[in-house]
Amino acid sequence: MTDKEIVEGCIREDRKCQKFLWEKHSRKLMSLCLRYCQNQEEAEDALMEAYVKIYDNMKTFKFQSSLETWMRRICVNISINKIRARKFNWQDISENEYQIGYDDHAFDQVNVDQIMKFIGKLPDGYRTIFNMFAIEGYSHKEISDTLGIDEGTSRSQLAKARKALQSMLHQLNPNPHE
Amino acid sequence: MNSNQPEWIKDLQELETSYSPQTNFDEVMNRRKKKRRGFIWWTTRSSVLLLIGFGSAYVYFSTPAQNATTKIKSSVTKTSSTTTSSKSASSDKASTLLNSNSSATAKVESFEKSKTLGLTSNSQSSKTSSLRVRTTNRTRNKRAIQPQTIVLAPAGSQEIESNTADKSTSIPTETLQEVQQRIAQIFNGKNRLSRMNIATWKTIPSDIDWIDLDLKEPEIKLRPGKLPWYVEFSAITGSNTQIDFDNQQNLSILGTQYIAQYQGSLLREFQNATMWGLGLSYTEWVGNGQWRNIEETITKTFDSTIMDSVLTSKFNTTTGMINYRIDKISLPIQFRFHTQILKIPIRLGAQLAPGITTLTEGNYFTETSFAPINRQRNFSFDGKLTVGPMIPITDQFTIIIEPSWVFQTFRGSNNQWNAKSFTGLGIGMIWSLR
Repeated sequence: MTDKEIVEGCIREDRKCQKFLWEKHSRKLMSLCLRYCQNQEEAEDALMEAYVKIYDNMKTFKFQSSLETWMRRICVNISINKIRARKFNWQDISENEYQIGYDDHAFDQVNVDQIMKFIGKLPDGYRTIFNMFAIEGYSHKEISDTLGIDEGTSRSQLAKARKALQSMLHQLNPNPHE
Repeated sequence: MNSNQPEWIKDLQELETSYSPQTNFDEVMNRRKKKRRGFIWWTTRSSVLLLIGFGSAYVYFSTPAQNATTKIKSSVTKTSSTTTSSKSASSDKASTLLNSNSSATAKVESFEKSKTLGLTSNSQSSKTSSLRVRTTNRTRNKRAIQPQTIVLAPAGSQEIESNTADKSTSIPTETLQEVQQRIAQIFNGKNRLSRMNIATWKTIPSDIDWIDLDLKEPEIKLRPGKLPWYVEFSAITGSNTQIDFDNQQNLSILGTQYIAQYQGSLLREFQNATMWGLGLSYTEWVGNGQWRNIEETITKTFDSTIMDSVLTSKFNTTTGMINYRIDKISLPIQFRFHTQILKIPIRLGAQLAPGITTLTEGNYFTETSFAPINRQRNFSFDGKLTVGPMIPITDQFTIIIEPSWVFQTFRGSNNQWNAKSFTGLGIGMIWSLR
């Protein structure tokens, strides 16, 4: 079944197409929600809420991106709303603090489950920005627009997140070159 | 996505995670159904509540309101008067009238042609200390007359009608005391006109010109009427300006903040020139500013002239723009007090309004700090003090010019209350629903 057929089916409220969409993407989106949310229950709630929104707003999908990308965006927004409900703080840091040495490839040798655990340990603010920037590929401008924060705040949160991840990685493997 | 992405990011994007059995497709569909039902239920309930509200208001206000704050209306109507008198008396066509005015002496007079008299609200200030009853009977006929029956009942008129075209004016002496007592009760307010039912005035001695009644100081209390309701619409703008940077601080912000508030209210008049009311208001609160941050960097350099290291301090100044916007809806509880200054009607107003933000975005700033306010709903609390002249346009419509002091707060994302005060000017329009 192609994306177009799925979308048209969902618009027609064809239950078969709707279920197919659920089966196809729900686990991947669950992984996404879990990266943003604090625990399994919150992530599952966000996932179902996201699917309700996806089904309800399928008419608005214009094929300007892939269906999966669109669904991921909805999941990100719903997850962010869940986090906001907890009212976390953005901890700002000065400009030069995020000039730290960081290598994205440092995690290549680490198990994905382990990285998920690391991300889960990050504070809400760091985790959200890190997920949006590093994994979903949002720009700082998009992040600032979505979250209603400064681009500087986004950068600083990302830098802190990276620093924290680096520190966790270092604790896991004190000497990575050995 | 970046093609140069590390492997672990790609793995994370493709990672699939299982969920609990409670999370399933059917549950999603159930949620959709509940959401739709919730919307239908909300719409229906809101419509019903609105209908009930408007219906109640219509029923309430469609009944004629009686205002007795300024006028007390009551009447004494003589509906029947039967007398049998002598030929000369019947041709005399005298009638007995009660006349009360603001003079120190109230008279009960009988005039041949007069049939009505006014018992006006001026009688409130009457300082009557005695009552003189004069009977006018030009023929001085001493023959007895039949009793008169007077019905005293409240009605919407201020007039006492005396339909006594061919009635005698004689009052028998045996009922004089009763008459005196009754009149005294009326003027002392112990037995209001409106409460009196049927009195039987038997006869009045025709040979008495004046009867002086010793009455106490009159104490006529007005029965309070239904106090009117008012509808008010007002709009107000205000501003708060931070003019200059604070040079004592590294981070300093200047800017201007505005509010625009639109409000509708339902007010009820109470005694002592006060009103209380409840309303609904919508406020837009916008701030635009500029921030300046001065950072001092200390660098260590080697000075060859003194052959030693030197610490050099350098100040780096950065500036930028900052703005925020907050929209909120609140429910103001209002108090109004009316007075006069130099014959100009003045209204003093105060209100407290708990509410909720409907939009928060940007960076909320004070003179020395700022914080992002995420798009989230949160509580707010406002206050407003106003004082201004009232300009009556019609009996029921008045315009009020209101210089105001407005206090606005909202709870930020970190649960801290942020507050600003504004000075402004507003205009209000108020309709009486009497």
